[in-house]
Amino acid sequence: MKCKVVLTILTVLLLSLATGCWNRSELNDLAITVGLSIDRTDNDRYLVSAQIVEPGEVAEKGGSGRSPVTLFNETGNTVMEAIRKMTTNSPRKIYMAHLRILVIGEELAREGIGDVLDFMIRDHELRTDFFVAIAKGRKAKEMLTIMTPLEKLPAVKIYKSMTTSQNNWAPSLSVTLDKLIADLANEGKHPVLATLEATGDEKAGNNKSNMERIDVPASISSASLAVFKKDKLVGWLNETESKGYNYIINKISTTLGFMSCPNGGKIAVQVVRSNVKVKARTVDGEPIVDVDLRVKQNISEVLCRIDLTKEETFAEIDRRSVQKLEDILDSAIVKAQKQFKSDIFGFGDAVHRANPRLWKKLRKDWDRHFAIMPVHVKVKVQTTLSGTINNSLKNLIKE
Amino acid sequence: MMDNGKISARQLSILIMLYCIGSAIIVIPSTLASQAKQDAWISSLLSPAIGLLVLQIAIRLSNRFPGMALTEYIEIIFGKWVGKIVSLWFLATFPFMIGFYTLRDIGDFLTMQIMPETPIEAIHIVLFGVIIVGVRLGLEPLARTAELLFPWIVALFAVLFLFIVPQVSKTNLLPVLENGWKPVIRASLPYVSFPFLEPVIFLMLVNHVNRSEKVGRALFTGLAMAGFLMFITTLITILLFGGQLTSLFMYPTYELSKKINIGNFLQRIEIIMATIWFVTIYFRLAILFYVSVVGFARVMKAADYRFLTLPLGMITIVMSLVVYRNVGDLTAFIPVWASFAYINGLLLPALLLIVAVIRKIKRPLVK
Repeated sequence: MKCKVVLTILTVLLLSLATGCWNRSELNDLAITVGLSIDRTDNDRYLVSAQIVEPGEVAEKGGSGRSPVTLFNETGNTVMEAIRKMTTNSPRKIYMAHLRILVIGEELAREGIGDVLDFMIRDHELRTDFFVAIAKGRKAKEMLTIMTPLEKLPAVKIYKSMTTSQNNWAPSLSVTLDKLIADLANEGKHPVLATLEATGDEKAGNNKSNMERIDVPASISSASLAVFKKDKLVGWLNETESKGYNYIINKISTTLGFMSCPNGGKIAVQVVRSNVKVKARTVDGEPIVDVDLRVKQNISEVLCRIDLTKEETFAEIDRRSVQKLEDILDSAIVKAQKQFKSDIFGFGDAVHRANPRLWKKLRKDWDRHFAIMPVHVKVKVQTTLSGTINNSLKNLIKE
Repeated sequence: MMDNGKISARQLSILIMLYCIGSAIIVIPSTLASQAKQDAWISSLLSPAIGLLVLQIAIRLSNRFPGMALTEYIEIIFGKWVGKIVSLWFLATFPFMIGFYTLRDIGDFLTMQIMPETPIEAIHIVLFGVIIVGVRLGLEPLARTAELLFPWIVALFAVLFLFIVPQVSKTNLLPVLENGWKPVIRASLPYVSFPFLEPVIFLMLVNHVNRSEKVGRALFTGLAMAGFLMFITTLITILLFGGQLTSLFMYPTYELSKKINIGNFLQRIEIIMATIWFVTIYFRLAILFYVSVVGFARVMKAADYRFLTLPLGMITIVMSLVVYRNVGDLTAFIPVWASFAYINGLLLPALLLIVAVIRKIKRPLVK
C-alpha cells in the first residue's frame, strides 16, 4: 500500500518534468513574418523590413479595421542584427518559419547577394521554400508597403501570384531559396531571379483605402527577370527573352503565344505541353549545345480568316510557331551571350555532364567560352485542337 | 548477478541495423559529398561492402568461441593479465568513447535545429537517463523494444523516400565518376570507420543469442540492411540537392525531410521524420553503454554490472560536453578517430583471429 502511494507521488512528480519544452513559444509571443526585404543603406549597413501578420485582422470573423499586416524597419551591420534589433520596436519576437517572400533591393543585388543569403540558409528557423525576388528600380522595402486585393496578406498575394503565373504565363519564374543556392554553388549556371515592380500611385498603396476601390491605384507585379553573374545582378531580361529563358530551362507548364496569320491578322495558341532537352557535344575540342524543344499546343484565339477544317492550315500554323519560338529562344540566348556573358541556362552544366574532361579545361573562364559557343536551337511543334469551335467567328460575319 | 537475458537472431539483426544507422544517418550524405560530390552514392555502397568484409573476421572469431563474449576470449588468447589490459583498452577507447560522441551528436543536432535555447546539458541528462534505465533492465527488454519499434522505422523510411521522390532530378547524379575513383574511395574511408568498423562491439553481445549458429548470418543481414538504407538516403539526398548543396548542409537528411510537400498539405513533417533518428540513436547509445558497463564488470570480475551504470553514465554525460569545443574541433578529430576505429575495429579482431588460428585455440569444451 505504502509502496503504491510513493509510486503515485513519484509518477505525478515526474509528469511535471514532461510538460512541454524549454523553448516553447506561444503563438501570441510570435510576430509571424510573411515578407522580408533587405536594402543597402548609404553607410554600408543593411535596411531590413519585416512584414508581420496582425492575427486579429486576418481572422475569419472580427477585425477592427486595422491593416492586416504591419511593417517593422531596422538597420544593422548584418541582417541578423537588424532583425534582432526589431524587438526594440516590436512587442513580439520576429518568427521567420512562415516567410513567403524575400525581396532584395536592386542596389544591394548589384553589389552581390551572397552575403545576405548566408544567414537565410544558416538560420534554423527559416525554411528554404520561400521565393526570392529583386525589386526593380526601387527600394525593396517599398514592395512590402503596398496593399493588395484578394489576399489579405500582401506577401502571400505576391507569393501566390508568382506561383500562378509561373504555371500559366511563360515569362514568369519563381525561384525558391534552395534553388537559388544550388545555382550559386553550380559553376556551370548563373542564377536568374524574378523581379517585382510597383505600378501606380505608391502613396495610395500604403493605405488600406487602396483596397476600397475597384481599380486599385497601386499594385505590384512580377514582369521581367533579373540576370545574375555569380551573386551580382547584371541586368534584366524583357518579356520575350524571359519567355525564351523559361522554355530553355524547361519551366513552362502552360502558356499562351501569338503569331500572325498568313493573310494578315493574328492567331493565339495555347501551349499545353513543352519539353526541352539540352545536350552538349564536342566538335574539334569545342563545346556545342543543342537545344531541342518539343511543344504541343491548341488554338485558343483566331483573329483572322483561316480555314481550320483543313490539315494544311494546321501545318502552316506549326511552321509559323516553330519560326516564332526559334526567334524567342534565340533572343534569350543572344542577350545572355552577347550582353551579359553570363551562362544563365546551365549550358556549362550540360558540358560538365557530357564531357567532364573538357569541362575541366573550360571551367576557369567558362563565361568567355559561353559567350562565343554555338547553340543550335531545334523546335518541333504539334498543333492539335482548335477549342470548342472550328472556324473563326469572323468567317460567319458577312462582309 | 550478470545479465542472463536471451535474444533471438532476428533481434540481433535489428539491433545491429539500428545501431549502424544510429547517428550516422543525419550526417553521412554531407560527409560523403564533401569529397565525392555527386558520386557520394557510390561511396555509400563501397563502405558497407568493406564493412561486410571486415565483419567476416568478427564472425570467424565468434564461430571459434560460440557462446562467449569478446573480453572472455581475449583473456584466453592473450593470457589473463595482458588480456585484461587489452580488454580495458578496447572497452575504454571503443564502445565507451563512441558513446560520448554519439550523445553529443544528438545534443548538437537538437540544440542546433530544433530547440536552440534549451541548454545542451538538459538534453543530454534527460536522454541518457532513459538509456541508463534501459541498460539496467538488461539486454532482453532492449532487444524486444527494438523489435517492437522496427516496423515503425521501416515505415517512416518508406514514407520519407516516397514523399521526396516526386521532387528528385536525375541530372544531379551526372557526370558519374568525373574525377575517377580516387575521391570516391577517399570519401568512403571515414564512412567505413564510422560506423562500419564498429560491429566488433557486437561480439560482446552474441553470447546472449539463443542459437549461436545463427549469429553470423544475423550480423550480416543486419549490417547489409543498414548499409542499404543509408545508401538509399544518400542517393535521394544527392538526387534532390546535388553534390555541392549536400556537402554544404550540416544535417542533409533533416533538410531532405524539410522538403517534403505533398499538395501544399502534407508538409513541415520533418519532426516526425526525426523520430527515425531519435529511435536509432537511442539504440546506438543503449548498446554502446550496455557493452561498456557489462564489459568493465566482466573484466573486473564483478558480480553485477548495474552498480556501474550511474557513475559511468555521469562520466559519459560530462565527457560528451567537454569532448570537443566546437564544430571545427570535431572536424579536426575525424582522422584521429579513424585510427582508433581501425585499431579496434580491424586490427584487434584480425590479430585475435590470427593468434587463435596459429595457436589453434578454440572454445574449451563445455563440461
